[in-house]
Amino acid sequence: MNEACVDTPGSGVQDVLRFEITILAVENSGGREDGLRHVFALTLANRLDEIARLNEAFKEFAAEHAIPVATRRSGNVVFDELITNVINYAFDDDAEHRIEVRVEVNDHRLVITISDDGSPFNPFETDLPDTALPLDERDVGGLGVHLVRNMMDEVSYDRRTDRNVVTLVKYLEPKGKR
Amino acid sequence: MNVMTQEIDSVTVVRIEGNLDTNTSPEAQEHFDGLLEKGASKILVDCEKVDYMSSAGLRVLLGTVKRLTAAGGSLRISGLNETVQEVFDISGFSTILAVFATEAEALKGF
Repeated sequence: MNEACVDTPGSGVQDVLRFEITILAVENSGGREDGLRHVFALTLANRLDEIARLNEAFKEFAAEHAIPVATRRSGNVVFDELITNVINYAFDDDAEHRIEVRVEVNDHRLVITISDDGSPFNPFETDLPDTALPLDERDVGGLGVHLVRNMMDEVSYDRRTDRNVVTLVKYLEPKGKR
Repeated sequence: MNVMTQEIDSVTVVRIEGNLDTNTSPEAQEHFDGLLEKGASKILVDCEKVDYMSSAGLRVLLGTVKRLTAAGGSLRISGLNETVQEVFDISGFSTILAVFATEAEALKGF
């Protein structure tokens, strides 16, 4: 990944768009030790080629932190689906916008957050596609969000002030069982 | 994404390597359009080296198989990894497309 080539939307914004931190999780839920928590964050401009950059960076992050390949691939698919939707439909102007992506992983779960400053839109309120139609009647409209719902264990949408925030959770098998 | 094409007997084998997603699907679409224009009637898409596929990739496959069957041809798919298989199952593509475990199996009797 060539970080020097990144276009920074807006002005006066810090150039470093990707950072990774590793912190020892201090909060235990019910006394359970969640182990190391790793965080990945990337800011994208609203251009489709930025999804390729995100997916490549996420692949590296997943390899570094032993995230199972199938989970990493599911993440790649949901990024492609949701961020394509944001770029194509969320913005009413031709200005550059920033899409914030954050991934947090510990031994038990992977949590993905995607936020944008586009028009309010809940992707999970869209109609379900009919996946039982015969070949000649099929199309792929609405299939992307349907994939996201089914590939993730939890999906949610929030409108927070002027941003759309989508949160996705994928449960991980305990390391010994992977 | 890389696409390699090989003719094996009467079958056009298309081996895709990498991701089939929003950014790569236009190129894949062009590739399949080219094969259809040249009159290919039996196309086998081998996905053994596909890492992941999103709905943009499904759209390319669906469009290709519709045009191919309308012209009297047919399409087979092979080599889906666990995640691509999951995408096919969730979308219902497993039931409308001819999916085989390996390229060799898909070639048998095609």
